[in-house]
Amino acid sequence: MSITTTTTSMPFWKEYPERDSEWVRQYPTKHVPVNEDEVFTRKPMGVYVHIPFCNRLCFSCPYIKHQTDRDLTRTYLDALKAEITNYAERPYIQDHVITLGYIGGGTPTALTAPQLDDLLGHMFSSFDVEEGADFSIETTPVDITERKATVLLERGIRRISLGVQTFVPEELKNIGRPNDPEMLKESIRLLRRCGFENINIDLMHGINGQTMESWEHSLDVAIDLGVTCISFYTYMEFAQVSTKRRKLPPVPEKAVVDDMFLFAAEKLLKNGFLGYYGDCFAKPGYQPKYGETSWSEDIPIIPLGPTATGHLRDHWYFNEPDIGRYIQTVMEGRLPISMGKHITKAESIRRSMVLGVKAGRVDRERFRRIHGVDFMEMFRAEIDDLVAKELVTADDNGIEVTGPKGWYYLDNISKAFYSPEYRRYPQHLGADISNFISRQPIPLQLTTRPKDEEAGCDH
Amino acid sequence: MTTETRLLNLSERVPQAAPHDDIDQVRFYDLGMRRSALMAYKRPSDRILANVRAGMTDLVEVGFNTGLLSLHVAGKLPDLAVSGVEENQNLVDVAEDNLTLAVWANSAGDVEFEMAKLNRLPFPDDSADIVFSFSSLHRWRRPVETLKECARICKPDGVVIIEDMNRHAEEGHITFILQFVKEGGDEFMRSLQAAYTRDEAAGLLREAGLADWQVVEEDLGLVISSRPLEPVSM
Repeated sequence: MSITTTTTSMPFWKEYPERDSEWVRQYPTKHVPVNEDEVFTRKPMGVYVHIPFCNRLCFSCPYIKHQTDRDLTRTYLDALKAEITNYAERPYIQDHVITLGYIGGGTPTALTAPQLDDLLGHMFSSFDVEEGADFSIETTPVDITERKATVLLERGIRRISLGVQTFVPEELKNIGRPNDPEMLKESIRLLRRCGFENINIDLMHGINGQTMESWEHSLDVAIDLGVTCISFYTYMEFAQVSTKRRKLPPVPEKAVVDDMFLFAAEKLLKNGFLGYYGDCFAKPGYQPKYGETSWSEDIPIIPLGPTATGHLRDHWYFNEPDIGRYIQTVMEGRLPISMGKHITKAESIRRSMVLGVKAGRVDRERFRRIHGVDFMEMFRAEIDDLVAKELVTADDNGIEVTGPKGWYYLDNISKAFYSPEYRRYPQHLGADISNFISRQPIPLQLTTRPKDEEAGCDH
Repeated sequence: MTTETRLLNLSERVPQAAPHDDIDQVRFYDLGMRRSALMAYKRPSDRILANVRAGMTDLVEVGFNTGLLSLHVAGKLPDLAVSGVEENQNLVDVAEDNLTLAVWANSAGDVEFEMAKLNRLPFPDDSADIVFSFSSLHRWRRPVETLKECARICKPDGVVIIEDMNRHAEEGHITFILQFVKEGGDEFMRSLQAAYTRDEAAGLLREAGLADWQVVEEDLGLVISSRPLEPVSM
């Protein structure tokens, strides 16, 4: 028996040298039912709001922030609302619905309750915010009050994150924080009484004078308090913190700090937490969605406030870092965009890998839906290498960072997906260096500024 | 378009016409270094300290800027004399102010600063155990002559250690530092444009008759030494 299939005789499909006469005018083919809702569905979008004020400046914190000042804070909030309005009036933004947000700092709750209410009210009424959108805010045990917590809840903030750092009085003193652990615990109880169910606390390991025993104590207290999420960070001692001058005990050896990381990961897993981002552990159902969703689902983010970083219209960018210039730019009706990068389609795929693994896992089907490619094939060599190093596991559904080894090496894993062009380039630190970057293919000569503006140092 | 972006031109060396010609700017530079860039001194300092041997008596810094490294090293080595030489009057003035403060604060170091031409160092032959320099080479008017002078004053069993920026350091590393120096970005980039590459530094050494010396690229910088050195970790 002979069976033959001919594929050259369809009226709309001819194979060369036969001339095809179907006038091609659309692509792709294989059309399916499409309706109005699908075409005009507004896509999800996130928002990041930066509040660069603290009521108390900690000597151990290297980040740029300002002491809360009545006049500056008021002027800043006017600018921030103007920036929100500017974005909200743009059709591209109006084509999206806000499904998640993060309010960070500084200390957002350094603002008064009426200021928080005013800011959130303006933001929620300017943007189209989905009912039940996942909004998270940072605070400190010192700055949160019942009145502020109530405002936040009434405005729809459901997740709150407290910078606790440690429950050991001596360690709190060593990093320049109020050193009453009872006050820290009471702030968590207060939030729960007010109605917050999803409470994250930040803990630090590697603090001056910290030991494995004291680290375990802080973890135990956090677990006993019943918080739903614990994030821990390695404390970095910066030049402005003089251990000697402040007569502080030394920070633990690096090997001890590493052990603290692994110890915490193991302990939290045993206590019913699941791992995210390598150093974030949450009870099931309480995972921090801002990072996971925006990274894994490639959701655009509106950046609001100085140094805020966002991702819109095939660009990631950050805002003007200087608060004075930020206010001036915004009040002149412009967006305070400082520096960033256009993201090509190819780099968009890589970006979803680089950031996707930071969320702990990359789902094959979701990735295919977003980018139309099978990352398991596209990055086979990189994934095989990571699997061989026991940093990720791979199956038909995608890849998952191993715990705790992969969590420890999470940023190494992330960088395995950098394209060659971007390898060995640093993350942005919120400084504007555009004066030194040429956008022309032909290099420019460095222009000398007028003398009275010159200043600086060699290194 | 965006893939064509690059740091401003660092391909050719652009010597600084009149570096540090304004005392107020030198003071600002000094303040910036003391406030935020002391980390930059850590590795040069550690490298010098790692090369100190029993019986050493004299250290010389060639081109001491505002004296911060000499003061730091001298404080660590109170039994050794540290002599700094600089040829820019404004730098010398600010370094003297820093020295005055160090003396007032009873710093243990034995330091003196002196103004002299770097191509005619005011020291006898074979008189220094360690000759060091940091972030100065790019300003030397006659680098070949100064290198010869460093070799001349260094004892036969001593060592010369000269560190400066590498104009062809990795671009990523340069952007990293630029983000830290903030307002000092212009000054930093002008200095970097005036800095030598590894091959250019090797060329200077050959011209000085010091072809057996070492040039090592290390992060942002170049380390020139009269003999191989052990690496110093961060």
